[in-house]
Amino acid sequence: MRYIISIDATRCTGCRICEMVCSLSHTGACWPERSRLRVVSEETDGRIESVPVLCMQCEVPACRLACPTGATFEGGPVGAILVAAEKCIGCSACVWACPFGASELDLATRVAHRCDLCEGDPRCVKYCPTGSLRYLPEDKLAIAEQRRKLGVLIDLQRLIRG
Amino acid sequence: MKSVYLYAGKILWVDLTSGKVWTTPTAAYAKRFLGGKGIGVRIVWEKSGLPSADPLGPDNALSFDSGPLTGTMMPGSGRCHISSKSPLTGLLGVTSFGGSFAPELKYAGYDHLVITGQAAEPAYLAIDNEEVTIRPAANIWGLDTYETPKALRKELKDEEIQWACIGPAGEKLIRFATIIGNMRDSAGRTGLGAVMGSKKLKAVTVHGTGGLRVARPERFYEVCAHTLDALKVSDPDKTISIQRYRRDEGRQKTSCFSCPTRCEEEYDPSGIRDGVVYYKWYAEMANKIGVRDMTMWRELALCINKYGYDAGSLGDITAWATDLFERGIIDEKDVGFPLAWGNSEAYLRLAEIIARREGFGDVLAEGLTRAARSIGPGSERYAVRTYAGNSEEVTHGSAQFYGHFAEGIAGTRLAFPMEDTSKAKTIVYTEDAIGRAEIVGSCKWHTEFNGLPLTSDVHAEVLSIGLGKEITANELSVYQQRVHQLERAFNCREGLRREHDILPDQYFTDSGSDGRIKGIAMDRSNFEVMKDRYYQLRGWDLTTGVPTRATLESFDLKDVADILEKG
Repeated sequence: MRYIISIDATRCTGCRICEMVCSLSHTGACWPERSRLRVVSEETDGRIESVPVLCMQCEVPACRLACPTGATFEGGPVGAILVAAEKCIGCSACVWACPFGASELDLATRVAHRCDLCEGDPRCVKYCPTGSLRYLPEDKLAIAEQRRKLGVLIDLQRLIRG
Repeated sequence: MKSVYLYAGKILWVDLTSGKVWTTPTAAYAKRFLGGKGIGVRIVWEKSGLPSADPLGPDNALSFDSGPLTGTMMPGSGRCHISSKSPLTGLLGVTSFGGSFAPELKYAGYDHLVITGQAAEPAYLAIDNEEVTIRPAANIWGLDTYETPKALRKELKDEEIQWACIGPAGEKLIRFATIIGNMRDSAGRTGLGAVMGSKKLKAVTVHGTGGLRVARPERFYEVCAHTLDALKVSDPDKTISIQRYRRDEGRQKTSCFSCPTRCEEEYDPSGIRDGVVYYKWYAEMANKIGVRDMTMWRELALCINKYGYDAGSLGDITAWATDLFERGIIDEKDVGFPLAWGNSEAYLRLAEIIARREGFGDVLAEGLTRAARSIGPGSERYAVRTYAGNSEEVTHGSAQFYGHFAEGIAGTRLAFPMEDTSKAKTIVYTEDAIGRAEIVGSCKWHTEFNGLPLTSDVHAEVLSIGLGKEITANELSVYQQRVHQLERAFNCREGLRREHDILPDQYFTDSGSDGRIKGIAMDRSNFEVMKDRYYQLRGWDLTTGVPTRATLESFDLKDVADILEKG
C-alpha cells in the first residue's frame, strides 16, 4: 500500500519545524530555502494563515510529464517521485508544471528537488506538533478527510445548540 | 570563506545619519559575549557609551540580536532580541519578540543589525541578502502596524519579506512604544519603539535565502528532535498557562519560528476585526483596569497592537490615571472625559489621545515617572513603580525581583511566589536560566525556570554539537554571568546605585492603594537583608551595589571595571 503525506491546513501554526527537519536531514544545514517542503504564510489584517506545500504524489505527475530529459521518475523504496540528479539539466520545467508549487530548483546544487518521503518515514510528519501533516495509506486518505469534516459539522451543531 | 557553524558570521551596521552601511565579523564579539542579547548589550555599552546620552538622540544605538541557535532546528529559536538605551528608564533596555524575523536576518547573512544615527526624513531599511538599502518611508509614516507591512510588501513587490515596524506610538516618541515583528509579536518593555521613532526608522524588512551550517548535522538533528519530544510531553496545565487561556478563550493558531508551543493566539470574535493576541496582554492590561468584557478587551487589544504600545505600561499608566481620577487628584477638566474602572470606551479614547499626544494624552505619553512629575504633588504616591520607571502589580513574591533587576526594568521576568531569606538564590537561578536562553538564541519560556526541559546541559550540548567545539554547561554559565555583570555595569555607569534598588512605597505599607494587600506588607529591613544576600551572590559591592573590580575581572571584564572606575 502506498502512503501519502496529507495536509490539514487548518492545523498549521506556521512554525516551520518541518522546514528545519527537512533541510537539516537532507542538506546538513538549517536552510529553509533548500527544504523540500515550504510553509507559506499570509497575513491579512493581523490574521495569519499558513499552509505547508509539498509533493502530493500525483497519479499522473505533471513534473514527470514535463521533464525533457527523463530525470523525474517514480521509484525508490516507497515509490516517491524522485529526480535523477545526473540527468537533470536544471531547466525548471517541473517547477512550472507542478500545480502545487511543490517542485523547486535547489539553488545550491542547481538540480530540481522535491519530497522523497524520507524512504517511508517522513520526518516532517514525525515532528509536526499539531498533526497538520499526517502520513496515511492512500485508501485511508479520503475517509480521514471525510471524518475530519464530520468533526467540524458536529462542533458546529454543538455550537448552534449551545 | 572560512567555515562558520551556526552563526551567519557578520554584524550589519547601518548609520542613518550618513547613510553608510557596512559589516564586521561577529566573531570579534562572540568570543567574550557568545551572541544574542550578550552581543547586543555589549554593542550598546560601546556605542551608546556616553553616560546621560539622550536615548532619543542620535548617539543611542539600537541592536537587533540573534544567537548562535537562532534560525536552527532547536525548538524556540525564533526570538529576536533588541537592545538599546531605554527612553522610559534611561537605563539599559532589552526586549524581544518572536516570529521569523531573527532567523530570516541570519539567512540573509547577519547575526546582528545595529542602527545608529538619525535619518533626516522618515525611512525604512530593506535587507535582501547582500543588498541593503535605506529607502524613503514618506508614504508609510503614519500608518498603523496592520497597514505598514501591507504597504511594505506592495512597495517592495515581495510577499516573502519578514518585517519589524513601529506604529504611530513609536513615531510620536511615546516612551512605552513597542517594535512589532512579523508574527505580530511585540517587543514590549522599555519603549524601544520610541528609539526607532527617534531615528525616523519606520520599519526593517528582511529577505534571506542562505542557510546555517551545523558541524555535526546528524547528531544536531537527534538532540533537537529529542528536545522537541521532551517539550511535547510537558503538561501544559502545569507549565504555560496560556494553553489554558487558549482552551477557554480562543483558537489555536500561530507559532514562532521552530516552536511547538504556539503561545500566540488568533481570534475572530464577531463585531470586530481579526487579529492575533498574546495572553500576557490580558494579564498586563485588562486586569489592571478592570475590563471584564472579552469583546471590549479584544477591541482594546487590537488598538494596542495597531498603535504599537506596550500593553503592560499602557495598563499601568491608565490604571494609575483612573486611581488619581477616583481620588480627585485629577478630574474631567484635566482628562477631557471621565475615567472609571472597567470603562473600556474611556480607555480606548485614552489610548487614542496618548497616540496623538493630545492634551492629557501628551502627559501620559511620557511614562509614569515623568507624568507623575508633571501632574504634581500626591500623584506619585499612587504610582506603582520602581526607580527604573516601570510599574508592577503589587505581588509580594516578586517584590525583591523587581527591586534590583539587572536592566532596571520590571515585568519581563517572573519570580516564584514565595518570600523568605533564601529568595536571593531563587532570583539568581531564575535570572541565570533566562539570561542563558537569551544569549544562545532560544526561548526563555522553555527553560527550567518555567518547569520546561531546556536546562544548561541541553543548551551546552546542542551548542557543542552545532559549533563543533566543546562548550560545557559551566562555560556557558560564565558567558551568561559575564553578560549579567555587563548589564549591571551599564546601569551603574548611568548612575544606578544600591539606594535606587527600591520598590514602590505601597509594597511596604499595609494599605497599598486600595487596601488589597492588607497585612502582607514587606518589611523594609528584611528587604535590605535580601539585597545584601543577592549582592553577595552576584559579587557586587554591598554599600554601592556596583560590581566590584574583582568580580568584573573574574569574568574577563577588566575594560568594564576601568570605565566604571573612571566614572
